[in-house]
Amino acid sequence: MTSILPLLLIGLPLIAGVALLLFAKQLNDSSGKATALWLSGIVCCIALWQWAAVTQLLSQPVTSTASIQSAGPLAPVPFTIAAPGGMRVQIALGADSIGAAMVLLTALITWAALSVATRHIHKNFTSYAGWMMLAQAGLMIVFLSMDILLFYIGFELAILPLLVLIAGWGEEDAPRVAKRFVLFTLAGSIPMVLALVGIVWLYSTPEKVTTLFSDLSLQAAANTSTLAQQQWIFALLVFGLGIKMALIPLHTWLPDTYRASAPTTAALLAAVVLKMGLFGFLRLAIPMLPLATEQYGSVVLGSLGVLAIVYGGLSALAQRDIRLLLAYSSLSHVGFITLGLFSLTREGIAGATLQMFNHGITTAAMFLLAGCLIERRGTAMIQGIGPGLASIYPRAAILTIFFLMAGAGMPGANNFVGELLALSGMLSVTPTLAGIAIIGILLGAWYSLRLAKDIFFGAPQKASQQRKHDLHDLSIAEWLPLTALVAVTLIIGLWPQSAIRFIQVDTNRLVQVYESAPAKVATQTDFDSVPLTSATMPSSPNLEANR
Amino acid sequence: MLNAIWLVPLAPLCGSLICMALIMAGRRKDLAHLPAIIGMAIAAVVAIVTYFESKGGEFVVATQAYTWLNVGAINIPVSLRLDGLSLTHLNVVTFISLMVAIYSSGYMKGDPGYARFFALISAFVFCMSMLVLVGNLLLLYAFWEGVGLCSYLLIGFWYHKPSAAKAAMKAFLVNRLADCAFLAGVITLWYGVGLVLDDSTTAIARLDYDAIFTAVPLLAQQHPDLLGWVGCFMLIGAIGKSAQFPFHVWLPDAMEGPTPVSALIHAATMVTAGIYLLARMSPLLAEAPTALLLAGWLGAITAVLGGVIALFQSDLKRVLAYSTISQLGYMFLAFGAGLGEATLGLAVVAAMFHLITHAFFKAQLFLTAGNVMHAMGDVIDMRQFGGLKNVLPRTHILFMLGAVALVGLPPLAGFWSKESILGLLLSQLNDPVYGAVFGCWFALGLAAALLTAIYTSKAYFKTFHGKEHWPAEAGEHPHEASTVMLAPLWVLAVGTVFSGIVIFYFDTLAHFILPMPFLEVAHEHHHESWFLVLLSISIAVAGVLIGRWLGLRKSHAETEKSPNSFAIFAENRFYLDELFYNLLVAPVLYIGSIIAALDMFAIDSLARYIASLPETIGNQIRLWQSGRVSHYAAGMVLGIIALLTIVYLRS
Repeated sequence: MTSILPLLLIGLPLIAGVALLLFAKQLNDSSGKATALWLSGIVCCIALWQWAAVTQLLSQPVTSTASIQSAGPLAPVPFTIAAPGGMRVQIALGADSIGAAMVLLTALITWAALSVATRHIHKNFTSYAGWMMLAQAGLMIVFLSMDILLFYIGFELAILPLLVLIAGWGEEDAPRVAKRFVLFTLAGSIPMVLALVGIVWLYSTPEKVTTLFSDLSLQAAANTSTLAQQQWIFALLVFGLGIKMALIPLHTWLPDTYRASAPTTAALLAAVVLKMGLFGFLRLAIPMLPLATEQYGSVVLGSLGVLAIVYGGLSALAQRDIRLLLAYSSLSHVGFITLGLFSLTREGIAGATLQMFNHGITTAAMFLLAGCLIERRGTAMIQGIGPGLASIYPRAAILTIFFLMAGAGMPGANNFVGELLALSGMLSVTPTLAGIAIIGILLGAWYSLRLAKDIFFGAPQKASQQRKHDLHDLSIAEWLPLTALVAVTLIIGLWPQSAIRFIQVDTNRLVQVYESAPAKVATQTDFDSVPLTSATMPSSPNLEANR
Repeated sequence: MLNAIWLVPLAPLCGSLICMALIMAGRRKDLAHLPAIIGMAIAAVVAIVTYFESKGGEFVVATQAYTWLNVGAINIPVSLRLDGLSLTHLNVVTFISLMVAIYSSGYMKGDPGYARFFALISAFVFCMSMLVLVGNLLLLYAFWEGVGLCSYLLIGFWYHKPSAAKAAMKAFLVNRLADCAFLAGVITLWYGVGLVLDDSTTAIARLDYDAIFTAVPLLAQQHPDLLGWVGCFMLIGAIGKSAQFPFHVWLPDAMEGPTPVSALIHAATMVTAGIYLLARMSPLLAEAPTALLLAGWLGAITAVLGGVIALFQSDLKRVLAYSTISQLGYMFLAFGAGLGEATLGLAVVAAMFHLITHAFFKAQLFLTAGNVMHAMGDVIDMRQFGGLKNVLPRTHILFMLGAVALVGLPPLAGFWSKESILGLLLSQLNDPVYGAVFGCWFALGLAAALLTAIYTSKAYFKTFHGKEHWPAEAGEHPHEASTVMLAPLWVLAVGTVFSGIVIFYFDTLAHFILPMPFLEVAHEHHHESWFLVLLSISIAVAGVLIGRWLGLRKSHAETEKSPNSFAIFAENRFYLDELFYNLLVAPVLYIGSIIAALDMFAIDSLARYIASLPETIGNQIRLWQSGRVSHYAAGMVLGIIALLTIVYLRS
């Protein structure tokens, strides 16, 4: 039963999206809203179910070597597509804890964004919801694919509906911004394809061509390629994925795109789409290009991550538009994830993976709240929104200050855990980088608190000076999803072990190649004769110790 | 019984949650003080009972709740660690907060944020007692941030006041700056402990105090530099929270919050968290003399600096704020005195002694200042009122008791604790290495004592003696505070009067705190020197007389004599706030705006460049430029075809 969950998670949003678009004319406004919310809510439930199934699989004691592989990803059953000419391509769907967490994030954010959007999207809500569901389907493919072909399809497919969302429901200049977004994405697609082709080429022999992640990772661990081969593919991959994750200096599409899109769209963009690139590194570079990743990862990408932390933080300080502030703050926070990922330590990668989820929750919440304020005040300029709104919108004030504090790394909220782990991981590899990155914690608090002060503190403007007179506090469609996000934030913040004990089983598997690296050099011959098979995979000691 | 210690943090937490529920329900908010006071009362009773049950001496009890985090080599169990030090500090926290909460139920009456106030103050007591009780350095950091958050929200309690909003932000950010160093210290220590303790089999909780102290001697041998850095990082964290020079700038502004908050958080408890951190980490600091030397110097400088600035402030609450900064400087000075041979344990005792007495009399002074403020219609500028001793007779007595304790006249509390710090320095003047430094600190300590006596008596005489007058805001007949605001003050007064002599006479703290595991302590006690006692008393009396003269003479405005340049300099806090702003804040903001502008420019130019790229490549590709979805889809299909082709070709 649980093995069809991945298929369901892709199929349902896909069908729902198409159906909503087809029947956009027939459905009236309120039934369209209800349908969209129900459908995205059901996807949420399935995603939660899948997370539960994956965690249950991971909690089972590992008995034999045969069961270890099945204890990893949920149902990675490959389908074989036979093509004329004797060509066979394998594709696979499945969920490991990393994928399941990202799926859960995607489902949760789509639901929350749609719920808030019922109040903010005034034209063609049903079509908006349809495109959102289609984007969700594309993202689900990315997070659930277990082979290169599906991964690439999802990677590109997710962008199409997002383009429509940005251009169709954004600011006046949104079409222009969407065009730039396409250009950047296309610029990234070409190296991406080349890199994927390169990976397949690297690990295929005339006897066996494979596109499955599991096969490719095993081949990579068996050390069949050289650094010289890997580094070119790695470079292409950095360019292709770097655009998606807004790696400096490939980030220049990001601030404007977030500003011009509707805040509910920007929530999905910042929470999930921004993570696609990072997820790609987790799925492709780290397991499949270990030599190149080790050589260049912490030096080049770690430095770029630190650069992003400081650069994004400093830029955020200077922003007057709340959406741009949040955009640069995302840039800064993604830097922490990059830092953790490329520390290539157990703490760092587990923390970065958790942080991908965490940052999605808090940043989406902030964009949604920004949307609520912009809708009410008729401007996105911080000076225009504030000051003194705490007495007018107390719910919005409490929620915003909560999420700002969570974003600023307040212990007890989720971001602190991820950033702590990322910093600890990097400290044991390159202390200087970790030292500089700590500045990000100060900058994060700085722009967050300034935003809180400029909007909520101080004396409210006189009614005559207000551009818009919507003095209603958040409605239930707005505060309910945000409260759900508060709950997730607190659960992970107060008991991170509840989530990370499962995530680390899968991330430790990734790190293992790097931990045995010194031994590999010393006993090159031994390693060649003993390919890294399931026997050397970790049997989750931490998990058992905690139970 | 020992698991009952969980009640100490959890009861105020429940109180806070109930208050929050009241706010959300929007009902009976006027009863919000009940859950808060009951929660704190439970906490105080449990804490005091545990104190007497433990009978002192060496004891360490740890109780574990759950594993917060266990990833790779990071293992953080949530456990409480009960020993003499934590229990001592815990009792100060719970007792003072209970008194302040009772006082606040009168002081905050009628405020629209009544329930919010009690929710926040209960949350603060939860965080503070957890900070004191947790057995893990990372969790200490977590609650350290937690009390900072409560402080931020309480300074900005009257959020409609722009000055309060600014002060709240300033307090949080200055603390954050120091906390960056603290966090760096924590992570570095985590790394360091991993270097010397073998944890290859299972991830041990490296940041548990026991693990840290076990590792410290090994680290001192193998990686002394690392330990030195960790010590300095911790010290920076401590001077941030405890408002020591140069991080002291946030504390005076924090007086924008309600007065009970100033009394509880910014005088008696939260600001002493830095002292607690140093005391807690004393086995580590014993191996990091640089940090102790720095602590001593910064403490000595701050004690004098705070005293000088306090002398020139006309706002009663600000005088008390600078006085707090100055007294905290004394406690840091005590740690400096721990540089000598195995004297760190005695230094910890001296610092904690002063922490306790200071908590009593400073809370009392702040709360009586709150009474004055209440009666004067929220005016706190001492130039606008005076001669209030007949108007506020009880408040006058209470303030006087607090002031005498602060000045350091026997037999009130402040004398004994100040004596123990200065005495520790005096007894070590012959120290071969640090003798001269100790002499220097001793002199600065005496100077600070003189300044303390002057500004305290100046404030006292200005407020309660001289010509009777008050501002228009106070109305025709200012009235004495209500019973609910006076009763807790009488309780505090008992501590103000007796805590010093009791602790001194029975030597309670030394018995209770000193048998610290992992810390070597010299067993000989320094003897009371009559020379020092006489010197201190004469300094205090001289200071009081000077202060009396300053307080009762006509102010500059009345005599039309322009103040000298030093007075202006000191009145403006030596322009340290401005220095801080111009050296740290403005440049960062400037760099930020430059980067942001460049980034915007880069967006445009780079995007234009990319948009023109296809044109140069060829006409066919130009259709990509249109950005139309169909073309995009075509590109994607091309990509998939390329992927399939390579697969096909290879097979």
